[in-house]
Amino acid sequence: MIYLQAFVDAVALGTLFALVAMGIGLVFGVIRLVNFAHGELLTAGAYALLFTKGMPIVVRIVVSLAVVVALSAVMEVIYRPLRTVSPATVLIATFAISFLLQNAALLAFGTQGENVEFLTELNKAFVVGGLRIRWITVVGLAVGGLTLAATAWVLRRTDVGLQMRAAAADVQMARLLGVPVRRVVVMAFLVAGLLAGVVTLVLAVQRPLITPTFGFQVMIPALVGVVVGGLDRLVPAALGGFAVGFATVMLSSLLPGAQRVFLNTVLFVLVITILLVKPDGLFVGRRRAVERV
Amino acid sequence: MPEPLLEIRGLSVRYGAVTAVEGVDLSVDAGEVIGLVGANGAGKTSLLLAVTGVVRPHGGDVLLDGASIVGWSTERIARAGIALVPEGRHVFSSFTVEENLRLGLLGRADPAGADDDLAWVRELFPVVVERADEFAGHLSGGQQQMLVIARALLSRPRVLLLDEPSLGLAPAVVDTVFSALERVRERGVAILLVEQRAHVAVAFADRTHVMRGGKLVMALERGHGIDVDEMAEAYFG
Repeated sequence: MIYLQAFVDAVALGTLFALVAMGIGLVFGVIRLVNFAHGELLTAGAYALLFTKGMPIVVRIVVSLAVVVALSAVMEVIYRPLRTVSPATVLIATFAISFLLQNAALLAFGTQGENVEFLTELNKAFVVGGLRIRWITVVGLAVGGLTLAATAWVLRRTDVGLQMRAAAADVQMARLLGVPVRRVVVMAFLVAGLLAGVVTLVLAVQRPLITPTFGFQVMIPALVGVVVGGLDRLVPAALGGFAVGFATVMLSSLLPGAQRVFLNTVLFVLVITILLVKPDGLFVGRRRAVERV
Repeated sequence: MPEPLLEIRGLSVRYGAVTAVEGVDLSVDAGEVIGLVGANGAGKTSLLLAVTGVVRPHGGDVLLDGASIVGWSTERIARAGIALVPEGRHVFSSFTVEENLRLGLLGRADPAGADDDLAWVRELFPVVVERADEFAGHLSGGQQQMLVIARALLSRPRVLLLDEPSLGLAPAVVDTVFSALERVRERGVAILLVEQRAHVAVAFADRTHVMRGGKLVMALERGHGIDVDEMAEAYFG
């Protein structure tokens, strides 16, 4: 029974990590840039919830989402001059933005953290067949699942989605077909921001203590998931994120109490093993005839 | 005298210290086919890339309807009506045939007439358009080439640039492709055809230029008999 309980929680966290991974993968797909500062989008959204404490729920949600999407759009503008520089420079630059934002939050708000008091009643649990399930788990699964499905629909069925996938698969050919690549890149950042905003809302209920590393703590394992799944394709990246989130919760319930400090050790040993065996990613099949988004 | 649809004036392309194209003058009118042949490395592809804004010319000018397009982005040039079918069949292999064709339609400056063009392309390349739901990567090489041309046509180009469309294709497929291109010419599209195989170009184009070392060294009128020694001289100097 304890495993079934862990399974439910594992699926819930996995879904959130999948959304973060999808956001990272989406941006990487169109401009080959791993945005290390993706986690700070979540942090910004969480602080927005903190500053709107006491206001109506709808206002808090809208403000938080708007802040995250706006920051993502700003990041796109900041990264523009980096399009032509070497990948290593880009990596360090996005890391610098992440570091800068974290430390700005640290200066402004301190390390203590503050309780966001956002939809706390969703942390109450109900019992089904001996399982204790928190409402936020159900809500998170529903919202996360719907968001993933909606993103997939946009990419598969709409013109702008088709253009995003084309730009990700072969940017040169996309340009030759008149795909407005700049607009597509902006769209990718906006969608990635929206995904991060949704994750923020669910996560703020589950982890109400808002600190400067609120998002960073999620971004790192999600990024590991993206790499494990396959960096340059969207569905594998999302699956990888899911797998890492899932494994984190399962391992923490499988490992005997005193060994739980080794959770990350076990996780990273798994990751290293996977990367040694399947360096292109766990969920990437044949190398040919693939698309990245 | 009216201006030609596409005019290239004194065009030069350099990659660092290497000169790929040097002082090329060339023009293509509506309904006209101009061939461009030459050995590997003669600068044919570089010329096409400069026209489409993929590489920035070092000097010279490219005019569409008499207006310079040098410095425009590739996507803007595409939307202005210049379509490139690059060498090597750049289909989006994990997209369906239908999605590939839709990308062509999305590149149109004017959405009107899209249905007519689709019907026309279906008539030109029935084998390809019929397989709408299949992944483009699953098509044969010849079908992929047809798909890339069909996709370019759906963007309703006024100028069509083709980079070695017959490369690696079976003779029957080459026939299909060139009879389709004949129909494209009849529609009044200006065609610039780059070919390795001189006889293919000379038979099809109104005029064929031989390129060597980045320069145009010789021009052959349509149907001109190919003298092997003369061609070898033009190709290799």
